Amino acid sequence: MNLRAPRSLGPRVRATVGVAALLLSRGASSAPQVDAEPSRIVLGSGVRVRIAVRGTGGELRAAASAGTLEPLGSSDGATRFLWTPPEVRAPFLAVFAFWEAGPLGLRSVTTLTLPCSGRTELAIDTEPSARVTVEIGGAHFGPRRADARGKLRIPVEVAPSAHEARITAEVGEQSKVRIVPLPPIPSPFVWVVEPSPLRSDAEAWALLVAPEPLDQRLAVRSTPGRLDREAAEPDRILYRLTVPPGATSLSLEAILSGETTPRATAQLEVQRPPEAAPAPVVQGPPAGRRLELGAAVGAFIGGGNDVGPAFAATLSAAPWPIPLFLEVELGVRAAWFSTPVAGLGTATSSLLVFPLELAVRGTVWSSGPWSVDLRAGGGLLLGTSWLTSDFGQTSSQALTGWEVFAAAQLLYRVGAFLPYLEARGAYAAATGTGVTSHPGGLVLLLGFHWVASSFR
Amino acid sequence: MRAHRALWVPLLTAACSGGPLPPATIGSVTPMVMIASQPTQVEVQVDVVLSTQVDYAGGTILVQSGLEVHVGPEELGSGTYPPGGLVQGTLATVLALGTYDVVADLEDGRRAVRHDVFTVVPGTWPSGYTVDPVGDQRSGVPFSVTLRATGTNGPTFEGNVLLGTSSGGEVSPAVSSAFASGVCTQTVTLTGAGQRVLTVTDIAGNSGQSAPFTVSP
Repeated sequence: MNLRAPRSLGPRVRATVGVAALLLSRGASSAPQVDAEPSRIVLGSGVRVRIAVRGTGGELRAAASAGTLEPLGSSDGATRFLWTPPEVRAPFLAVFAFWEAGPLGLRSVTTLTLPCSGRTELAIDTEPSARVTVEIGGAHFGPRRADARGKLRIPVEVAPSAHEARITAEVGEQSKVRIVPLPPIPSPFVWVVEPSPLRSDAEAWALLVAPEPLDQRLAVRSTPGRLDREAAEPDRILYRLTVPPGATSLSLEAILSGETTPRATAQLEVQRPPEAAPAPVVQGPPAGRRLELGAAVGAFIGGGNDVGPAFAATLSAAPWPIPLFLEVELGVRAAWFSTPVAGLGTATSSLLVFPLELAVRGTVWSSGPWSVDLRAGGGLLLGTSWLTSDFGQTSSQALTGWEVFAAAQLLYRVGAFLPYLEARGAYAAATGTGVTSHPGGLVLLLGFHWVASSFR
Repeated sequence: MRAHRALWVPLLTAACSGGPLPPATIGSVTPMVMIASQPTQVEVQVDVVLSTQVDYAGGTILVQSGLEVHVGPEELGSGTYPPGGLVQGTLATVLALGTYDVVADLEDGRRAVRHDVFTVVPGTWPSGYTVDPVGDQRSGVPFSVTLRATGTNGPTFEGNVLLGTSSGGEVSPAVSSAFASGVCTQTVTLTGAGQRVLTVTDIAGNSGQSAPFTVSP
């Protein structure tokens, strides 16, 4: 009996990576549960496999070692896929991987192995008119009777786990058994990669999943890039994937020594990192000659009744290309209080002081739109004080004085506007006929500078 | 001059600067005529910006409110600035006939004067006075004495008289309260010791005296 073994049942299965992703609405985050229907197929029969994935909470991703995996959407708490086998006839074990987007770990990927049997015909030479049966992997085919020349063909299905075919030929009361080894058919592996798409500035991981235990013959490579083994289990190996700067695409390959065709390949796009946001339109704190107008409101706390609102208007000029401004400030401050006067009644004093000052302001720190300026200056105080009473005394007095101060401004640049918060320590003294005030102390102002013109 | 009665709320230490305050003025004197024998309610309007010291740090307002107003030699008012500056008081019938200046002296030294603005014209006086008997007294211990105006105008006399003693010592007050229907019950105090006679005199020269009495130390 001669038997022509099915050495080749068709084009060899080529491992590919197909990634499908769906965003699931469920919040639970756990290892996905995967069901497939049917749980095994015969290649070439036109059967497609429906796969349901449950128990995911994030963005579900999926990959298949061969064929086409098509997402069908989510319903009843399950994400469904339809897998179409590849146009091959050689048996193989398809492996599917399901995971949630995010950093990969050995246990973060759920796999499904689906046996795909091949269908072919065995051409057998045996005794004329012999009755022939074939048993492959527990499945029996036949019996069929050979023709007068002892030839016949028997259709069989070869499971990917089958290693031999047992052929029995019966002629009369005699039977012959022939065992024919079946050549091993390699099953494809699948690459699982995160993130997807890859980014050259982000950490990346690649997990190689096989439908069978991996051995020392395995070799992997990334072109360009580098794979560094991090952890492994019998059927999977986790690699750290280094994406070289400037790469726009990258291919992964897994091959076993002695084989000519990779078990798994993957072509991956590399996304360029987002370019840094352009700098604000106005150059970061002062660069170039500038003229600014500003205003601020706040309060001064000079102690006792030297407390009241404050306002300041500023004109700032940097006539040189360094962030150092000369400033003129015109302000207004007010204070008032009442007190009983024994034997007469109650008297109320009010004052209004107008600081007219010169200052220097410079930037000492900046980061993005933020900056800190320091100021120092001084000038004159001009004002008026009024005294009113409920005993017929009303008078007003002119006030004069001076002030020196040092201040810090925290600024935030918004286009041509620079809102700021100023804390000022000031020593101020204003006196008039019978009036003494110190309208300085701690001066807190909330204001802004507006870049009226900028030139180089 | 009376002691200053500055109304210090608290003491101020801060110095002040600036120019002088405007001068004080006497806006009006009402009435401007007084009958010599009739006590007269007089109002003097003093227009003044009082000197003040305002210290914001200390939260104090000091007002120098001392204000003395004189009509001739007689002081009017309480000695301090009244609300609105209207100084009021009653002039006793101790001003001789004639015209008088009205002067306002402020605590800070400013002065306002209205010259010859107040005139005292002749009045009607009692022909004399009697003093009801006075028992023995002790020096410095107040006692009450009744003065009576006599003569045709006596029962209607409502003026004041000058009080004195005949033989040393001091009597207080020097000017009596106003008579009412010719009678004045006056509390007086004598100093010194010995035999005394209390004398009563008006500015028209009419007088009277008490019977002698003893003032013991």
